[in-house]
Amino acid sequence: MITHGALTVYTKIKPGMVEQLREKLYEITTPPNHIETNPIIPFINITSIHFARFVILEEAKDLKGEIIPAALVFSSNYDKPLEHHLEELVRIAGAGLEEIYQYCEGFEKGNNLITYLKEHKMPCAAFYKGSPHRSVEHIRREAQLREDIADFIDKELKRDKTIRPRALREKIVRYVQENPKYSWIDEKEDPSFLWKIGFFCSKVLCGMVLIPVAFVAAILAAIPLRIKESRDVPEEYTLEQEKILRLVNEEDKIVQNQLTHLVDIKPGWLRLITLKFVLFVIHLLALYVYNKGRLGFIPSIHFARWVIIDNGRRLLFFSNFDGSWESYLGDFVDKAAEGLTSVWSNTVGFPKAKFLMFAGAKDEQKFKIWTRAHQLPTQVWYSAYKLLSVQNIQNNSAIRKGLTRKMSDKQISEWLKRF
Amino acid sequence: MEGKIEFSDIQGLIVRGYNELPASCFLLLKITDAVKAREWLNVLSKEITGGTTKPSERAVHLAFTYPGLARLGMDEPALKTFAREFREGMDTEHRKRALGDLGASDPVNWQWGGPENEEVHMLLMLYYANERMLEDDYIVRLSRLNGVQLVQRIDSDLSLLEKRKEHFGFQDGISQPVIKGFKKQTEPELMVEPGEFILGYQNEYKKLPESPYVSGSENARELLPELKVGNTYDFGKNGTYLVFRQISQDVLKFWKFMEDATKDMEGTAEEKRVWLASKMMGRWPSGAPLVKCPFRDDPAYSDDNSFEFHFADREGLKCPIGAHVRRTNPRNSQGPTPKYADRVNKRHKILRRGRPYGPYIESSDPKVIASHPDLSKDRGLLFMCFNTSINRQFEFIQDTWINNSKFEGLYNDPDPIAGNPLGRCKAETGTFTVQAEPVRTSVKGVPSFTTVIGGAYFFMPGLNAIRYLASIR
Repeated sequence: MITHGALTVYTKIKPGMVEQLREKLYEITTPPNHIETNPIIPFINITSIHFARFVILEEAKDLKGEIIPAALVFSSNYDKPLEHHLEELVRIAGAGLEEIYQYCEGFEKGNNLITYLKEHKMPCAAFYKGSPHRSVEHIRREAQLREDIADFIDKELKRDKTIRPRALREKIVRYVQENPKYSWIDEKEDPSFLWKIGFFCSKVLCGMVLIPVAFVAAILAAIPLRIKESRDVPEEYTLEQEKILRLVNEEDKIVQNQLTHLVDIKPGWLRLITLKFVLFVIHLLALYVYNKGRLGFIPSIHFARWVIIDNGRRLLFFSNFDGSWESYLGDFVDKAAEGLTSVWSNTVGFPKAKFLMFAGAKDEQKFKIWTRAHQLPTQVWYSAYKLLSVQNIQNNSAIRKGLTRKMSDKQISEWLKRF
Repeated sequence: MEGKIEFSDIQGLIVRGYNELPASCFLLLKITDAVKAREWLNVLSKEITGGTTKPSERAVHLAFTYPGLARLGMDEPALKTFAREFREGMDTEHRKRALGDLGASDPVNWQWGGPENEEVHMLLMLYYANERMLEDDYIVRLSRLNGVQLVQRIDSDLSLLEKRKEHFGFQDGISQPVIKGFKKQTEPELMVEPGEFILGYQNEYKKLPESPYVSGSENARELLPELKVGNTYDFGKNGTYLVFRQISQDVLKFWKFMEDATKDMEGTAEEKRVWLASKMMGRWPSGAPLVKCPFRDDPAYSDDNSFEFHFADREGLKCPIGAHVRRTNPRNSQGPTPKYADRVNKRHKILRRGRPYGPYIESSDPKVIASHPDLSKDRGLLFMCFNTSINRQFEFIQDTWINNSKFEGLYNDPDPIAGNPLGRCKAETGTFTVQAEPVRTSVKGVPSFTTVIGGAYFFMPGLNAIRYLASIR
């Protein structure tokens, strides 16, 4: 069975080394180098990675004015187990990673990379995956399979326009079965039956515990939170043209886009606990409810994660999604405003919320400006399947699964619509 | 915020499309002397057509680019309050990708508005009852230009085409948003808030759209509404952003493709051509929607806009998922529920005021088109639309719906009529999928039939705001 992990490695950058590091990262994507094949980290060869990024968090001041030193964050969405992912990463890109991490505290060339990466690993507060239980390899193979079958259908239609659905399907199945190229379609990446039973029990148990806890927590926290909210002063942002250009110049180049977002968490333990609790709930919802390609009603997110960093002072958000920033943020506002408000209303400058989850992101213009204001440029970003949307991946899997299943006439006609 | 719409301060083009003024010309202007240009503007401002009266002979409208406002003397702090898209302009590197202005449509190849062309500052739009009135008035106007220079003149004569047809031969302009507070009414849940198209009114998020403002001077106080923030005045009130693009249509390429792609099908050549083209459009040439007339054209439905997709055609068996009218206005098809989808859909509307240009060739037969004496002349659409958020409205439609090859789960299908496959999938040609039973027909190798040859973002101020511009010292 395949499951996806979210690796976040947070390392402080050695004083005075930020620019050298930036140069090194810049090299990865600058022609003649290409993100997929560059000699520093040839991502295309690292088969356990779905998406990956390097981001420099510039030196900053926290809300009390204390300095937070510059840091480098590496993140990957990988096929578990972690051991294998790290081993592959270091085997293929060890030299390049050494070049990069030599600028980070606690690492010198020649040190053990795997140990170093593990030591600086941060836990996710919440993690969403759009296509669970599919490895990079299967995602790519299923895409090819669908294309091949589509071509096969075109040929069959040329030969016989009046072919009946069942006959067409049988031909397709035979075509796939007889071609050794597709012998992999029987490999099981989906969870076993036993696992599903266990999963279901844990889901029920979780619901039984969490619902009453959330209920009590809501009663306890409502009034203190409301008092705090009424004192919140939302910030007015003016966006610097130069900064926005740096962001948008990297957008809309492939099917997916990415977002790196960093913001201060509001002061006080109540806010931090609330945030952690909300993210915990989202994490569970992503695990138990939103595990079929949609986060709420949003069908375009490949992976998303929230990480609380700097001892509870800042909230980091990474996301990989289909389509434009504008459509992604629009979906946030139109289809997931409550969920997002309950997370980010605990952070600084967010449009004024009511009872944690209301208002806030519903203020579309302010929410979009706030998001841009805290968005960071991502120095290096890699996608393992730059031509596939989440919907494509889901559909390709359904096609593959349908090949080995017995089907009624109705099911066949549904299945044929997937091409 | 339910304030009455101030029609007398709104430029009339927002209220009506002037079908009864078929002769029109669009003058791209450049300011050479700001002082003189403001004097010229002061005179012209008295002539601009407001939204209250329906003109029978002539209408005059004016809009400005960002460099135009700067050249006219608007100060830096005020200029900064305009929307980013407008400030950056249509031809920036990243916007090319969002709008699909790639390959042949790259702004470097444009005839106007691109980085290689002369800077455009203003757009003067003139509409007349007939061609003679236009020419007479044009001569006078040209001689009166003061501190202002003509960059280019683009003409459109509606009477050359059959009423409201575009050059591929399809009825156009049928679906327009019905705006709250305007004369035309429809079911309340389908009416769109005026703030989506005019600044100063509530938008579909029940908020006032961001509006450009100026800091106080005597003139501002006199002409513009005061804002809450001390000593600032609402320059944007009753104004809007105007998107203007000149889109060339290759009629021969279009019909030749339809003919070649349907060769192996049954039926007469004309039937097949028109069938595929209509599947791509989502309407038949008469305008009849495929959702209502799936098998053949029916002129009785030519103005029909009262259809939806979710209940009538969820799977695209009548109107393909990737058809032009379905992706430029998905209506209630995008979930989570049809009712909610309708509501979200209203946040991505534009008010269209485009007109065709160039001589019309009335045929779908590639042989006839190829030998037509007018073939070598350029023809296409002067696309114009109004919106208060270029980003969320025009650019969203262009990027998320028209050029998005992944629209609603598709794979490599940009809009077959208006899309550019060179976008995110970087394909030379796209696919057009005609959903059918038992299995779809996949039309491969669909090229771009249109090329963008000019364009710019404009701001079209209210009448008082124009007077304010003329009064800048």
